[in-house]
This record gives sequence, structure tokens and C-alpha cells, in this order.
Amino acid sequence: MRLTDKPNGAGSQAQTLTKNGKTPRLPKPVIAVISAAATFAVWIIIWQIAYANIGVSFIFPSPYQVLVELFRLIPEKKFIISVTGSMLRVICGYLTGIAVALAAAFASHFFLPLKIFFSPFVKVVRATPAASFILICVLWMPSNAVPVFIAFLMVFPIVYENTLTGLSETSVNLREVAAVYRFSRIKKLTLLYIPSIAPYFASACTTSLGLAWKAGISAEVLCVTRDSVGYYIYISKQYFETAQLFAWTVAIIVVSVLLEFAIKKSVAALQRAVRRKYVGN
Amino acid sequence: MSEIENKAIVLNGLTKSYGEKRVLDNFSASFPYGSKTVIKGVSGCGKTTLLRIIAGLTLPDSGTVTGTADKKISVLFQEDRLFPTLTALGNVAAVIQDGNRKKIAADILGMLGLGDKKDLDSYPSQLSGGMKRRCAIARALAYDGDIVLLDEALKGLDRDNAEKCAQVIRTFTENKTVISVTHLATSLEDDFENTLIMTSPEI
Ligand SMILES: Nc1ncnc2c1ncn2[C@@H]1O[C@H](COP(=O)(O)OP(=O)(O)O)[C@@H](O)[C@H]1O
Ligand SMILES: [Mg+2]
Repeated sequence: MRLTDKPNGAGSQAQTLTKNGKTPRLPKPVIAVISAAATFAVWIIIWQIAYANIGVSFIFPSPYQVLVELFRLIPEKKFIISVTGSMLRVICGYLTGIAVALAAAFASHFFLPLKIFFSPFVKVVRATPAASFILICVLWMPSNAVPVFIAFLMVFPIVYENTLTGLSETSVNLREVAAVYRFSRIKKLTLLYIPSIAPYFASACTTSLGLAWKAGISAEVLCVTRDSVGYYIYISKQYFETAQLFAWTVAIIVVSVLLEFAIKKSVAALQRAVRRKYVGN
Repeated sequence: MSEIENKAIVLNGLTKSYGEKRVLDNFSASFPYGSKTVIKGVSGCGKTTLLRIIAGLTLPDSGTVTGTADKKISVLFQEDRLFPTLTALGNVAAVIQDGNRKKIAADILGMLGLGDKKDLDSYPSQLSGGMKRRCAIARALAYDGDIVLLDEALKGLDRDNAEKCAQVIRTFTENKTVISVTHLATSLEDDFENTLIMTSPEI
């Protein structure tokens, strides 16, 4: 009796299980948004509690005060001018850094003395705090050039080293194929070198942009660069406008996130372009 | 001597060691232009090394190779060595220097049974072992070298495909200098006029 009952029981149980599985769930993006919002809310509450315990606005402003300050700043002309100014300077140094590092890495890969020449430079730049470079550079160049140069310095070693790693991992077997079939330089570049540096180059571009942005702002603060985000951070600090300082910082974080998003999209597009079929003439 | 050198690939006293291991010991041979030679020998006896020296990819410790300098050399490597970023068609078209490269490449691949659009547009990672081998063969033939070096040409092919490939290789290498090395002679080498047996110098 029990034996005949069992399969039935198991069957109905299985049915309820599938039914349960099919009960409408929230779509994944909605869950992601809700959990992000909840996390955000928790941190805002922690911030508010901290503020309530410190109780001195000019040392530690409340989230509300910062938000008010931010919305007061956004419509101002100086806000848009300084944010775009800072972005332009950093992006300028960033792109120059990528271009120079790529060229230097290729040259170093094929000409060992150059690699030896660059090696201490790259190591020193990586190990030196950005602040040291900033304070030295401000003696040598105008204050609006320092952030560009600092962004360049942040990017160069990362892109240079990653590109070299990619180049060194070019397949020996495929290099021989290219030699036997007398591939042109262009063909070697597109078939051997670009595919092999692509993943390293992509990650270098992504990580170094964030670094360049932060170091660029630091340079603006220390050099008191006109019409820059760093300048207003410096001013806010001088006048104990702590809520304003926080508001500018929030703006920097937002730009940082936007830049990261933009670079990830561009890098992905670039990689798709590299991977596209190469049959051409 | 120089008279032969103008009419043949001449290997003279080739010696090659890897560390303690001597792979070639005073190896000499000549391959008249337009002749077909199969070199047989057990695995590890130095066939690939010899082919690489002829192709100029490995330098011998001593000895000379003459008669290859101004020649186009097609090499079918022991491994397929296809470019992962190119389709089957792209891999073959990449070595063709002029003419309608895609059409020529597609024709050769077609003769080797890879003429379907789906196969032509497949990347190496999407092809089976045998298909990759046939693609590598197509590439070596498409390059149209004066000298054709084949390393285990029909490796990993089933009987029908091996026969088909042997036929196409024969067609494409008429009047060319062919050196085929293998540890297992196949139907491809049936009508080759020269056979060399290679032995390991240390055995
Ligand atoms: N690049 C290399 N470095 C060290 N040893 C090698 C190298 N290439 C070949 N050998 C050795 O030389 C011997 C002959 O190899 P190979 O020419 O590939 O033989 P075959 O093609 O006849 O199988 C083998 O013992 C192999 O291990
Ligand atoms: Mg071999």
C-alpha cells in the first residue's frame, strides 16, 4: 500500500515544486536596483548617525547639507566650467600617456636598449607618490599644465608595462607563420601584436583612467589651478566650507563613475573592432 | 658543386644539438628542383628540426643549406598554427599575395571539403581537428611556394579526407620541389620518387 502511494506523493510534490519555481519573481535588473538603493540608503543612514554624534557641521556636514550645497553649485557657471576644465586636462594627459606609452612599448619590445633605458624611469614613476611629482612640477610649469602632466605620469607606466607584457606573449608559433609567409608589417600588427596586447591594453586603459582623474584633481588642489574642481576644493577648505568640500567631492565621484563607464564602453567597442573578421585587401 | 646548387636544395654537413642531445650529425642530402622526396623516421629522430633548418627557422650548429635563398617556401607545420582571430577563409586568404584573394582561398578550401559558407566563416576554435588540418593544408598550398615543406601532412585526418587532401596536394605541387617528412608514410607519398630514411644519430 505504502509502496503504491509513494510515487503519487512524490509526483504531486514535484508538481508543487515546479509551480513554486514559476511564481512570478522580480526581473533581475529590478532586484539589482532595489539592492543598490537599499545599500545606498544604509550608508546614508550611517552618515546621518555619524553627523548626529559629531554635531559640528563645519567639521562633518550632514547628507542633507551636502545635497543642498550640491544643488546650489550645479546651476552655477563655475561648476560646469571647472568640471569640464578638469576633465579636459585629465583626458588630455590620459590620451597622451596612452599614445606615448604604446609607442614606447612597441619600440622597447623591438629594441632592447630602449627597454633598459625606460626600466628605471617606469619603476621610479610607479614608486613615487603623486604629491611629490606635483610639488616638483609646479616649480617648472604653469599650474594648469601640472594636472595634464600628472595624469600622463599616472597612465604611462601602467600602459607601457601592460603593453610590453602583451607583446612578450605573442605566440612564437604564429610569429614563425608570419615570417614564413612574409607577412607585411601591417599584417603582423593586426594578426600578431594587436590580438596579443588587446586584453592587457584594455585593462591598463580602464585602471589608469581612474588613477589619472584622482591624481589630476590632487594636482589642481596643490597647484591651485584656476577654473578647476581642485581649485574649489582648495577654496572650500580654506574657508571651512566643509559641506561645499563634500559637494565637490560628490561631483568628482560622479564624474569618476561616468568616466569609468565611458572607458569600459569604448574599450569594449575597440576590442570588438579588433576581433572583427580580417580578410580584407 | 655550384652546378648542382643551381638546380637543387643542397644540405651539406648539417649538425644540430639541443643541449647534450645531438639531433643531426653531419647530415647531407640534395633535393633536385621539381623533385618530390619523403623523409621517414621514428618520432624524435629530428625530422621537424631538419625541415625547420631548410625553412630558415632554425640555425644549424654547423653545415650549410643552399638553393633556398631566392625561393618562396610554403611550410605546412606539424601543428596547424591557424590565426585565432581569422576565419578559415581569412587564414587562407592572408597568405595570398594578389588576385581575388577571397575567391582563390574559398576555391582551395572547397577542394578540401571546407567550401560551405558556414565552414569558411568559422574561426579555428569552431573547427574540428581534421578541419583545422585541412585549413592549414589549404593555407600552405594557397601561398604557392616554389618549395613545399610538409611536416606530417595528413596528421589526424580520416581515410577519406586524407585521400582527398593527398589528391589536392598532388595537383597543387606539380613541378614544385616537395619535401615531406613523416613517421608514418601515407598515400600522399606513394608516387614520390625519392625516399630518405632518417635515423637518430645517438641510436
Ligand atoms: N627547440 C627545441 N629545444 C630542445 N629540444 C628540441 C627542440 N626541438 C626539438 N628538440 C628535440 O630534438 C629531437 C628531435 O625533435 P624533432 O625534430 O621534433 O623530431 P621529429 O620531428 O622527428 O619527431 C627531440 O628529442 C626533441 O625533443
Ligand atoms: Mg616532428
